[in-house]
Amino acid sequence: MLKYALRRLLLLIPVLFIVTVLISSLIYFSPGDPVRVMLGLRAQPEAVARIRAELGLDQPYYIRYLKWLGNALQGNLGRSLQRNEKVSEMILERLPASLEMTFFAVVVALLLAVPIGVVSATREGGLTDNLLSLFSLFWVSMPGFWIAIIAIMIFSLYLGIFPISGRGGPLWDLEGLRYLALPGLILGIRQVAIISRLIRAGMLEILGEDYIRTARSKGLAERLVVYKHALRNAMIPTVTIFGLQIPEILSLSVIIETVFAWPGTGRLLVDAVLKRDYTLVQGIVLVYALLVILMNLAVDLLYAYIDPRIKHE
Amino acid sequence: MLFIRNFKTLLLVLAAVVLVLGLPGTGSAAEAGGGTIIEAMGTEPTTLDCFKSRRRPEIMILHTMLEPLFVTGPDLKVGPLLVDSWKASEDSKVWTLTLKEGIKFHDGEPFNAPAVKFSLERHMKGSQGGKLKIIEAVEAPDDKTVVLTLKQGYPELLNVLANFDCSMVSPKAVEAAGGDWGNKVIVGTGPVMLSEWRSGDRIILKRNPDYTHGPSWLANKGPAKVAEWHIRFLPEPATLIAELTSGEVDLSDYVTERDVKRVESHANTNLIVAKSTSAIYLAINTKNEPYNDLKIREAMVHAVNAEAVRKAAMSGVASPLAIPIAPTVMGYWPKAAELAEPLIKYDPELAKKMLDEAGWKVGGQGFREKDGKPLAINFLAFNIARYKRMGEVAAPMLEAAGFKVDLQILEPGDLYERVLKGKHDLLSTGLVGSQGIAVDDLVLSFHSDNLGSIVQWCYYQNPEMDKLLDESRYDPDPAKRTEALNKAQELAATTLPVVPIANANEIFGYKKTLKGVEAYTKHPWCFDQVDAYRVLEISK
Repeated sequence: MLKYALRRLLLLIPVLFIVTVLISSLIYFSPGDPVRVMLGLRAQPEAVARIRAELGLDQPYYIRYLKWLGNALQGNLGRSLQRNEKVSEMILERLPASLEMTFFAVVVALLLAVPIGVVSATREGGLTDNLLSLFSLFWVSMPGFWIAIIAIMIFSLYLGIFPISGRGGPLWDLEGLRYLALPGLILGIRQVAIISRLIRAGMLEILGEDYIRTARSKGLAERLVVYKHALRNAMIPTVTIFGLQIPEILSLSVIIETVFAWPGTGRLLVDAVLKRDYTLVQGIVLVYALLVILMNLAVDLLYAYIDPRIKHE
Repeated sequence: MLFIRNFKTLLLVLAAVVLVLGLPGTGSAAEAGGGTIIEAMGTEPTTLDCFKSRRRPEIMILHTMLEPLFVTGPDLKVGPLLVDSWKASEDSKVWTLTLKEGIKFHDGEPFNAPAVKFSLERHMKGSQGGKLKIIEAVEAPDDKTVVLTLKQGYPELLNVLANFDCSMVSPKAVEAAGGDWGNKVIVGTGPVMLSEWRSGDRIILKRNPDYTHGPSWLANKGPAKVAEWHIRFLPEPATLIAELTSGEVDLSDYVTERDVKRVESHANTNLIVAKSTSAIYLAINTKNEPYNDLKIREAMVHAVNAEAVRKAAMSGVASPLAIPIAPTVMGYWPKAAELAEPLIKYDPELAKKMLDEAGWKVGGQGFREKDGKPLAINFLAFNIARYKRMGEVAAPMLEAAGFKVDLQILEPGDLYERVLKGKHDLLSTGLVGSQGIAVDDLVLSFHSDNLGSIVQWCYYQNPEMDKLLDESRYDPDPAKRTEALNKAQELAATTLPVVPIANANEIFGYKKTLKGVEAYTKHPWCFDQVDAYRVLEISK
């Protein structure tokens, strides 16, 4: 297991390198001048030229990329073109908020998806199953932006249960949790729909297996049959898909952060792209790529826990 | 992994969680009530370094912390702010300013002549250095006296010095802050100072307790009535309106035309719609064929129903516009609008007739052609709601007249690049947030010296216009300056570089319990200057 984990970690290097080359070339070759965007409509050409030179933007792309790469390998992600602040500090300031919301969304997804999937499978074809299927279809179909706005109208404005927007503090603080609840729930609810359907499908297949029939005929309580014997096996494909959903959670979080004015890295990335802040975009994408790879590694390692037959060589 | 084995138990647990989280907290994320005002903005500033940026979000905040030497008053006249007295040489080439005493920067350093020299020289190298190109040298012979030597006589220099681009900054703070200037450090002489910038959340400004030199027309010349002023960033308009109407936010001028009725009719909020200095129009690229022909431009103007565009794009919350500058700016000549009237009236039949006479006939595919070439318009619009909608409404009107319209909605970065390359024929845009001076607005948009900046999006090159604009700035005789300015406006009106659409309004939504909002919004002349002193006039 340790060798497997180390090998996967070594693969990080070429993957991250490819990601940074792709992203930096995409943004470099996109139309738009970061200095023009920064200075606005009335900027004089001389001022634009002067600031471009000061920021090193008059140098060829490959020189700028290599300089950035050299610094990044030493832990220096450079300075934001727009704000002249250290990229690493800007990311560290906003990352906890994004991680909190992602973590909350994942917890919500798992807490709700598992029982919903199990209940759906064990009541296949019944009213409960049909209602839960409709529930899943609804959340998968609705655009996240729209759901977020409706949630604010209902839960914040009409019912007054949750605050409308902003961050109230860290996750472990009750006030922080109050502010996190609605955006985290909206971010996680779509995953509930997807994962519960996967669990349902997996459970339906497994509940028809011979060993399940054997367990029942041995007189085991239905709860034990379902949760101990069937669910664990149904989780393997679910965990795989869940790992693939992590990038979707991160990309949807951009929309949720915008609607709820949540001060996370998603919004920071969108702003950086629109303002052509090359160094900030590179830094954030690098961090996101690292997070996705590490989360997928964690998911892979989880297999061995769920199914002891799986050995990572 | 935690399993909840009983679905009913799960529901009970969830209900309990919602109940606990839904309990009223200790307050919203910001300090509630008392000495704090919370204002909402739709976008976060890029930087607070005015050397680099002059976008609206930056100006709105910086103007409360930084002050220029002079300030434009409600009568549209420039008066002293940090200056006690001034005199100009007979040829208006050498200006001697005597500074007010006793004013300090936020860091306690004295505001003096060396600081003025430092600030002006810094700005001359900055993003808006164009305005200060007229200055040859800045001298500080003593702590109270500043001598400006200009490259040529400029009687209207005070207009330039009243511009935000000439705001005073603390030299010591700039040098000490290094790369942190504009992010963590901003030091000026204004009524509030930067306390904290929480990225993605808010900027917190705190009262400058030593501030007592507010402009003469203000009832409260300082200090500010509230201890803290929070500026929250709420990029989603629906969320911003929700926060305003629920009372979590006290004030915002990011209310869009679409939300006017909602804010106006809500029990918690009031709304003020004030005239602004913004001119909204469709800018025609007068360099590209066939739009370098005045008759074709006139046909284009006649084809667009500006009133319908205003209704659709601005919910009707805007006034008509006749020439490319707003009627609220200082020096506006109403006669120019009268001269423009017959040229800008909506008359689609006249548009078609003019195009026919110019040889552009309707071809088999429904649009006009001449010598095998289609009458094509490459029509660009910013992806901002107002400009996008303007494009969407105007495009079919132009198509009805026989133009072949290719409308593209673009984000600013991409759009700026295309405009700079002159790839547009028509651009849905406007001159927003000007200082409110007619000659400045005309120079920005139509003087050939400004070709190369994005705002010269009409690619307007007319030696007669250049001559008139130079006279209106540099002629020592005020009567001749006024005459030249009027003629420049007439020329702008009759050469039709734009399809005039609207004089946009500033819309302020605020909590009914706030005091002083009417006082500060009664000055319609300049958006920038109005915003600066809201921190002095508004309280709870």
